[in-house]
Amino acid sequence: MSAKSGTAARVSKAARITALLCENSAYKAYLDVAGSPEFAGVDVVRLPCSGKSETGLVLRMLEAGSRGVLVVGCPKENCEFVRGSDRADRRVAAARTALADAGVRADRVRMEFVSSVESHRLLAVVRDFAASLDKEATA
Amino acid sequence: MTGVLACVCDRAFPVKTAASGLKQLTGAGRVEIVMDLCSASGIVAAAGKIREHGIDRIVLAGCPVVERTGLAATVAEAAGIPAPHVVPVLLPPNADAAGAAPTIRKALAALEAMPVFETRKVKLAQDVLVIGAGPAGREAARSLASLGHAVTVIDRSEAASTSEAAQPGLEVLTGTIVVGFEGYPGSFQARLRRSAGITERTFGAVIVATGLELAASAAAPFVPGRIVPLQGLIAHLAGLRLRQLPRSLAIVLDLEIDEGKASCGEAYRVAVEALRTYRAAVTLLVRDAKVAALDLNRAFDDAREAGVAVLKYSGAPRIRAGDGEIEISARDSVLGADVRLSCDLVALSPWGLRSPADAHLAGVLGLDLDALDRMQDNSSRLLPAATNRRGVFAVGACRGETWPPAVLRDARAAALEAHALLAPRRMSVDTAHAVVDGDKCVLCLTCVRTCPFRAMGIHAADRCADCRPEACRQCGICAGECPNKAITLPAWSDPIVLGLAGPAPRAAAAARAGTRKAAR
Repeated sequence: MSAKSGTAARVSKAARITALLCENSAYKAYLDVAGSPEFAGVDVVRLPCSGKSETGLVLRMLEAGSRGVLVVGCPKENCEFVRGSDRADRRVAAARTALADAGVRADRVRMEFVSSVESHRLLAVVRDFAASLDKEATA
Repeated sequence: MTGVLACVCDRAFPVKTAASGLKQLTGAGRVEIVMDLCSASGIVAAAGKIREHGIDRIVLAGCPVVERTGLAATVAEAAGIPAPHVVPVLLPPNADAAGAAPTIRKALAALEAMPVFETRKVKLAQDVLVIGAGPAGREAARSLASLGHAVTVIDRSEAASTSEAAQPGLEVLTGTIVVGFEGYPGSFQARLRRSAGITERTFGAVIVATGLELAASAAAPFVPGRIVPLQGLIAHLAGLRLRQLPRSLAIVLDLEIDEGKASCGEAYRVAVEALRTYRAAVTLLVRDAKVAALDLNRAFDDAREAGVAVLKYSGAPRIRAGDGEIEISARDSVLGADVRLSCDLVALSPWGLRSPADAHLAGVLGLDLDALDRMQDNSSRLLPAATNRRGVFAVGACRGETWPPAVLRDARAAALEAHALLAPRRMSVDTAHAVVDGDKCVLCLTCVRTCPFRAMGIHAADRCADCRPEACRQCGICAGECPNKAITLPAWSDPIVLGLAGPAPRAAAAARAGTRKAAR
């Protein structure tokens, strides 16, 4: 694991971002802006609920060369499955701890909450995440 | 057979698509054009075509309404096929067959990769249990009985009203509590304890209307004759002689927690009466004046017009009863400054709303409480009356709604929802629910703990976790949480999610999907 995450830490700027989007909110928001340049370097993965995003899957995506993983779910009090966003939030926190323990920058995984009508915010979130990863790459 | 249902309507989406052209371009087994899929008649027509032609995997193509809303699931349910076998896609406006074909081909490929699921019908018990014989419970029971359900109303108190018992189909059991509760929508087994002993009964749905227990507020420092409860304020004023009447009066709400609409409405009424009848200068201190209910806004405006001063505060106000006047200091959240207020009499809302008995009942029923220990978790998706457990509804004060007209509306809404759930008498359940690999499950109970809908349980014979399809909403939280990766959601397995799955041979896929299904 440590050797692999070492590789992942040196991932190039050209690598792609993976976005795990809840189909009830973030994915609907994404559909409205799917063609925009913010998503040019993003692999979008559709999930039934952000609560489905497994910690292991997120870490494996980084191992496989993803630049960063962005998990986007419904706003917590508006989660289609009541507690999905909350569970996802906790799990992303766990993934960040695991990354930090392995010596990888924890902010390569991020949890965000976007409702289905907030396409503009989804774009802002993606831009911001990409910018934070750029900063890391130059640092 | 795979099929495409393309929705055509003259309003939002004029598709100039010939069915034959689409069929040729996409390789779909069957292409049908449906009018107005977003209407009830459109759904019935679509379901009819699906059944008539024996289509088992469908791409629904149409405008954003077809794509974005839960229409695919509705069509699947109407046609009696598993929900994951219906995939909605968006067709660009004014698309011709060539323009529409790529999107549809992609969706058809995704459908090919989907494992084969089956549906089966489960029976729904028609009896409904109503817990609590207060106004909300009685209203819900009356509505349900008039809709043709056999209703059992139970109440903890022996003194509960049994006047409804005369209505046919309605039974009232006083002095009865629920001591055990398990099962799934359409078949809940409730253990009811009366003095006569414990009986086990089966109910299709449950409506919780236990009301609210008013506990004495720990934060209210009452001083007889000077700091009094809001409830008894008018009686207190009426008992005073003319010279003893206070010149200034402060009513303080929201001391411990935010008040409900009922006590706000009461405070507006009392404030106006104190001002008009007893000529006191009235100041109302609130964190948040509730106005969002029938007539409540008008009551608030009336109070303002009558001359009641309203002060919005934040934090905890300090109330000191010295020798002379009573002094209240609070942070005015509108001015953003500390204010001090002197008055002759203070009325406080005397109750805290927490109710330990409710928390116990919620534990028995498996309901999640919100931050204020109310019976409905804090999620807008559950409004008006649903709880985290499908088939169990919370109405009235136990879910935080205390404004009387809204309470009755709540009760009727819950009765209708229960009726809508049970009236078809059979519920279609598909095998796309979470699947537990018994060899990997170590019974850590993480899934049982994290499933929001209480769909996970223990399979006694197999000694592993077990998903009940009747309650499973296929969100995959259990699959995400399972530390041993023993749980999968077949419609959302990793290869499918990552777009790596190719067309799976159907027999093999069915065998995979049926790992745990076989145990039932």
